[in-house]
Amino acid sequence: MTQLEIGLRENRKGYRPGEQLAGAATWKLDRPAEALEIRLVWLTAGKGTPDARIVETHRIDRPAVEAVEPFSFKLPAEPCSFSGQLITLTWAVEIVALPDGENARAEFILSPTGREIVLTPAPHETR
Amino acid sequence: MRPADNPFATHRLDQLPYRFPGGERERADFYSVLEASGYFGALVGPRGHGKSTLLREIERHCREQGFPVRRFQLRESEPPPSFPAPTAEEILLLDGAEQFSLRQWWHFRWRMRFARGLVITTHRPGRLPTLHYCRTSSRLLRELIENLSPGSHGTHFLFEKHRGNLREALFECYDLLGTRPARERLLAFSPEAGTRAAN
Repeated sequence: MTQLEIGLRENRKGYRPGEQLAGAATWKLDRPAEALEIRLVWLTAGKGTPDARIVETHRIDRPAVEAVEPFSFKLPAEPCSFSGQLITLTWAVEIVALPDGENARAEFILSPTGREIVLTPAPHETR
Repeated sequence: MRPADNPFATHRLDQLPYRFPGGERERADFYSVLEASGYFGALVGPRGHGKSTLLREIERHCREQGFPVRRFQLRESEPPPSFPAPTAEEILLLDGAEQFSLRQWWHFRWRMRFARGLVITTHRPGRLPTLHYCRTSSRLLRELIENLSPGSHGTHFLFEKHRGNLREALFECYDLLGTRPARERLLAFSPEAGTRAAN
């Protein structure tokens, strides 16, 4: 069984815009893959159709069956991680084996404070 | 509760398998019919009755059989996607065929005529032979809710309120759960809670 893992340096969970995010991808493939992609992504979850964007990709063609690969991404200014009533926006680094699509992910928070922004309804909107 | 942690968040609903009323035997029969048809036909049913869920399952099945597959999704709020001509090996899946006018439908059929197979979802039978009529039940909704949020009860009003549309019923579960503190969670699904949430 293919094993994929993303580890963030020092196991950090919170980052600020513009910071450098570093870590390492580890894999052990049960069969050769055409490529592995390490992706910086954000995604939404909650009510309604989920959305996702790949911000940056680090591609490894014809990877070794077993290896550890460091990565580093400069984080953009936005969007920030937040939770409202309908949507949570989360950032993550994911590793994807191609063409099978098997993947693993490590989530983190991107915001000016390093903590998830919680959106609360305005007082006149409270039911 | 964070939206991503809500047991009825969309990404969790999308992982629910399609449940045939007749269980695994009916599932096996369906795939026999699908293969015998040459992967050509329609999944029929009203909104929120599982057509898209079953279509996604068919996509996985086709890929496991080694067929190249392309899936198109028609959305009411968006213009139709472009439809590149298929290869002779491709099986095409079209979700939302009822949104095509007759003219658009026949243009699509002509353009896709060389594909190996075509399976569509639609609200009414007629455009292609019916492979399966998607059905829901109060019991099915109850099982899905129990699967997503164990211990919940009092859900029978949701099925009647939404006239069998499981998607809308599960969306209401999202709203009810998202507005209740954890200690009230198990009591959230009652006609009174539905009325309070609506107001």
